[in-house]
Amino acid sequence: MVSTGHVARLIVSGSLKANWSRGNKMGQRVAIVGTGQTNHRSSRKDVNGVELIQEATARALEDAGLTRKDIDAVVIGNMDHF
Amino acid sequence: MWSIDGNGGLHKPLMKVTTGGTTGTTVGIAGYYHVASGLFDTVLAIGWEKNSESDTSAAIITCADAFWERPTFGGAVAGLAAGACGYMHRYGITEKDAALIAVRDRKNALKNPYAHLRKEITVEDVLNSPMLAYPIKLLDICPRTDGACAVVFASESKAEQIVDKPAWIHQVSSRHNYTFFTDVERSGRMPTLYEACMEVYKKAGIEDPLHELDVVEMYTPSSFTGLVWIDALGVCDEGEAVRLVSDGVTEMDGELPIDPSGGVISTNCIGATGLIRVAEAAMQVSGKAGEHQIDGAKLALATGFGGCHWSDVLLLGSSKPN
Repeated sequence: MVSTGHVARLIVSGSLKANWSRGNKMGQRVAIVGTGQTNHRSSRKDVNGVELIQEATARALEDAGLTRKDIDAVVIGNMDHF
Repeated sequence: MWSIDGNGGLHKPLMKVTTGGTTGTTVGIAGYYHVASGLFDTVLAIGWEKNSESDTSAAIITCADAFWERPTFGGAVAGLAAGACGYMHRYGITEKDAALIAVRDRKNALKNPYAHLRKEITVEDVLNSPMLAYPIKLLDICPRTDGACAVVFASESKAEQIVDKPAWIHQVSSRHNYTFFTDVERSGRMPTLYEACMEVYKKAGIEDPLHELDVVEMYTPSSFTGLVWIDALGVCDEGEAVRLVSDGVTEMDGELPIDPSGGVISTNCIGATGLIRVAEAAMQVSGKAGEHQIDGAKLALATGFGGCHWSDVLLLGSSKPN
């Protein structure tokens, strides 16, 4: 007997194969519309982590001519303890 | 999340991504997927690090097998030093050959107002700098930096309303293969970078990357990797990278400029480092790179390196992808 989990996996692997064979045609086209960087230094004692993030974020939004309200979602990353 | 005040994500879907050195490029790829999926039209991607408040080598050594690996692969430099020895043995490159990469990147950084290390150095300076782990010296290796980078991704319908010259994402690829330092083949063509590049080129229809690409923002943690991993970009035969560099092919005015921003050897705020490569590639194809702009750049490659020789690759273009 085939469990529902098996069926789900078969469907998922089938759709991935279909997308792969079509190249990368799934989904909508995407572009970068703004970038921002901080003034990088060995030690930025003048800001904490949140303020460092805010500095780059504000510059990226300014570069794109957008405000925080225009953003739908956020992806953020760092290497904790590195 | 605690950083909401800084990232503006209040009451919005928010995701954290952490993949070692590749974190920044993975954040960029995740931002791309968020929009490409159709779930969101505008996504803010942020990479950051406050290295002055952490200890990179102490953290990296915890990734190593306690019995077999820690005595030789302790910290960030040792693995790169083992690789550099392998390259020197296999291809006959010298410490002087590698130093050319550090000299090139630090010279380029003079034109980038955001770069961390902005002082021109010579091959002699590199060769005479303190030895960290043979053959890697202080001026061969990337610094530790406090910094952040943010990139705004937008869907096709929004992007053209927001700016005149969007930087289109053409292809992305990830290769995160190994688990332990001693599993990595270090003396040959960097396998994950080579495979990721080949996938991107194949899907984008690129047959001659040396001439079709206009600029590369390459994640090069040391001068030795910056030299030998040029092979893995598929722009020359294996072992030919030295010739490309000594002929000036990778200089700002060469056939394929690499790291016009000054690269990782000039700025390394770990979680941001990969995303800076993506941002710089976008700036190049949008014509917004200022003093370090490569004239007429239409196609740019950004790479990320991390973990046990993991790779991410993104291809960006000034025109819409097919």
